[in-house]
Amino acid sequence: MHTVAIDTIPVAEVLALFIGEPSVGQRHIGLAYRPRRAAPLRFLHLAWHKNLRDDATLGSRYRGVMVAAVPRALHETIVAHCKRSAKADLDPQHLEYGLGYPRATIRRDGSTDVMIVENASGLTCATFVLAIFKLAGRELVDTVSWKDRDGDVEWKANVVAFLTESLPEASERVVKLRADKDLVRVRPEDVAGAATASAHPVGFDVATAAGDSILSEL
Amino acid sequence: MPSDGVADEFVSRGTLGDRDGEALIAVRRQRIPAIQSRTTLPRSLLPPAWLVRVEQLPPPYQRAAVEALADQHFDELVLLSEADAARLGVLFARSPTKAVAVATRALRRQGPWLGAFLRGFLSASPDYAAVMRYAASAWRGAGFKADALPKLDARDRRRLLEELAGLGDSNAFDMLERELVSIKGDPHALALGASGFRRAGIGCVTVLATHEDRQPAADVAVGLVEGLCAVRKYGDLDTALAAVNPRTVPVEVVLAFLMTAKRVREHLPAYGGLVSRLEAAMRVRKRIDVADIIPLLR
Repeated sequence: MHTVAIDTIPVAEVLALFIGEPSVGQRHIGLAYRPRRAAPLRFLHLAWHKNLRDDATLGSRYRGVMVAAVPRALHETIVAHCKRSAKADLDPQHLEYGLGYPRATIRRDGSTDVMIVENASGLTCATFVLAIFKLAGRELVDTVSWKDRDGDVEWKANVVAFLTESLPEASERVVKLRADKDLVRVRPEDVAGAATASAHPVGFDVATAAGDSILSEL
Repeated sequence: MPSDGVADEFVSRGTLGDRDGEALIAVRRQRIPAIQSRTTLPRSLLPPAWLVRVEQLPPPYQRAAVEALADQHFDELVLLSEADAARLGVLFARSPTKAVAVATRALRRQGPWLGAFLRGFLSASPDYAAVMRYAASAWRGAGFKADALPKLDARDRRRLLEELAGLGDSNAFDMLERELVSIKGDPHALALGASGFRRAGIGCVTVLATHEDRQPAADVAVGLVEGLCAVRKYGDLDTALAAVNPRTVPVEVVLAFLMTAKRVREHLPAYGGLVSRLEAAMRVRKRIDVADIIPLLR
């Protein structure tokens, strides 16, 4: 088993991922973290465009994935970055949903501490998790090895169409989103699979094989 | 489209406003210099016998004893030296309600030892929000009006926050970080702010690193690195890394420093030394994860 019930995540674990299928064919992923020792878990996730959430509860459709590959001693650092995002990136909501993570630069603004995504049109729920790990000094996946799979081209086209339907054709955001369509997609289950692997950054084959197993448990 | 299907709840953390900080500064300003205390109050050179007796009691009995004796010896309290008042504050941290009552009475008499009393209180109970509440409550209880409070200037506020953060108050440290990154266009103020922030941060980590919960110390370590990187004070960051002792600071906290500072390590001569000291400390502790962790830092 790669996944666990959320309520069985041990109190001693301060960090995990959660993944679920809230609607048919639609997966979603985020970070589960304890702000203090033995505190109840909180669930940090990019739900949609400018909709980062730091929730106290989670629906029953979600499963936990333990972050086995990153040394346990690093989990507090990752949690610290979750807490900084929960403080700086929620109000006002500013994180744009978008594509293009493989060439993105992630940093925090020096004055406001908000997460800045450069060279990409935004993040998905999956790449938001990768961005938090990156800010904590760890690349979870090796995107150079990534490939598109069946359905990815259509998924990206749908996302871009949905995000741009009310925007002017020539706007900068439309141009960026369309340009990022050509870059590979990192799926939620890929990120969950990478978290269970034994060495990082994780390549495509290892992450997707573990991701397939995780999907079968949802 | 992405969707979550989870309940909507986010509880933001509240903080007290500046006015409460003004109350504490106001009572601190009533301190008289130590030399004046010694000149005018020679009997306070020796701690009162009852204070010594209370300190010698086992901690569970100290609260009741100090509460009983505080009323009985209130006149003596007002005559305490600053050092004894600070010792009394440490004892009263076990009984905050009583501390407010005593502080209120002392404020009515303009007790000169009150600042030291609150400093002692703070050292035993370093909780910025709580002490601000106690100070404001004592101020109001003594009949002072809010508009009579002296204005708190930026320098006083920063020093208060540095003192509190250095005692392990992570709320105060967060406020210091926000103040540091908001300094614009004044190199001298920025240099002062960065060095104070660095000292307070190291103090805060040192106190919090003794707690069983590693998270608060790791949060402050990350904040210290991020804050100094945000204002590009790499010299202060380098000094901070050099001050971290992996023999006493938990591995998780040292890693919070190193992993967050790794992206700017070319500016940090002390980075490599801290990695080496961490590796040595982990080997002494026979940590089996040393082989997994050290390569991540290089």
